[in-house]
Amino acid sequence: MNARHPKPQRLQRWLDTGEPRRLSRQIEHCVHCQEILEEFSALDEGLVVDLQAATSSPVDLKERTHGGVDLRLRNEAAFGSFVDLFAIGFDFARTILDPDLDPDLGPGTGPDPTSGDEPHDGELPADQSEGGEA
Amino acid sequence: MTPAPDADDLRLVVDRHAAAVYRVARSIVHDPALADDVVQETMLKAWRNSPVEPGEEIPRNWLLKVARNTAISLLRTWREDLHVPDTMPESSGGASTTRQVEGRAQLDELWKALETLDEDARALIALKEIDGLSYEEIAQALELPLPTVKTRLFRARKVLKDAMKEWR
Ligand SMILES: [Zn+2]
Repeated sequence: MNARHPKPQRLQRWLDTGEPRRLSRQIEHCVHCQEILEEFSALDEGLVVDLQAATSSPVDLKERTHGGVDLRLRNEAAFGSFVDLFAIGFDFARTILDPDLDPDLGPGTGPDPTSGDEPHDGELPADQSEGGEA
Repeated sequence: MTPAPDADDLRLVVDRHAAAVYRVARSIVHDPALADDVVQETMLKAWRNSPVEPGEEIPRNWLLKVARNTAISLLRTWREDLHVPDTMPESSGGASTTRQVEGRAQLDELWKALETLDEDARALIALKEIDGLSYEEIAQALELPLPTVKTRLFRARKVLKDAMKEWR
């Protein structure tokens, strides 16, 4: 496709400065120029070793990560229980404070006995098992 | 319905992928503690939203994409919290303790050079030069066109090479 390629000096200048910008498009479409630039920009082994050292993972990373995710899951579960307890307390307070609500029936009258949706005393909805974000 | 993931799946994801995710996270956020957060969040997201059935191998490109997005997101939150738009957290140096002074100065210089690159360029360097992904894999992981991956990586490498010239 590209019969005429930029001279290597021009490619080197683009590599050094990013200029001229229009050359970027030409390079993106030319495998030959990409190969030259691959060579010009190759990192020496020492620099790759430094990069590895700079970003190397700590020896106890797996243990730390296991501990960290366990803690996050426990916190989520505890927070979920707290929210559930708060919701129960809120419903109870509402039934006491709102004269239109019948405390025995809870919010809304005439529950459908087949729905199975009525809250049972002392029972929390178990909703921690599903991830919920999938 | 997709079955719920179980704890063994989570352990497996951590054991297999934590190190690669950490390297990408570290290259983007610099600070080891923040990188730890990125790894943990990435692992939980991967466990809960895996594109494959429980027990199957999670595709590395997909996981590293989650890691990159999580790292950038946490880094932005960190910057917003501290009102420092373009800086990276200082490394608290907890990861390695026995570096010699000269080696440490050299790595500090390398981090300074990395800091002049944007997040995606740092991720490109980590994925190609450290994790050894192919250009095609990187293009998928970062959701960038293949030619863009190449031209950006050429320039990013050059920046690092120039910055580290005195140390070679
Ligand atoms: Zn060409």
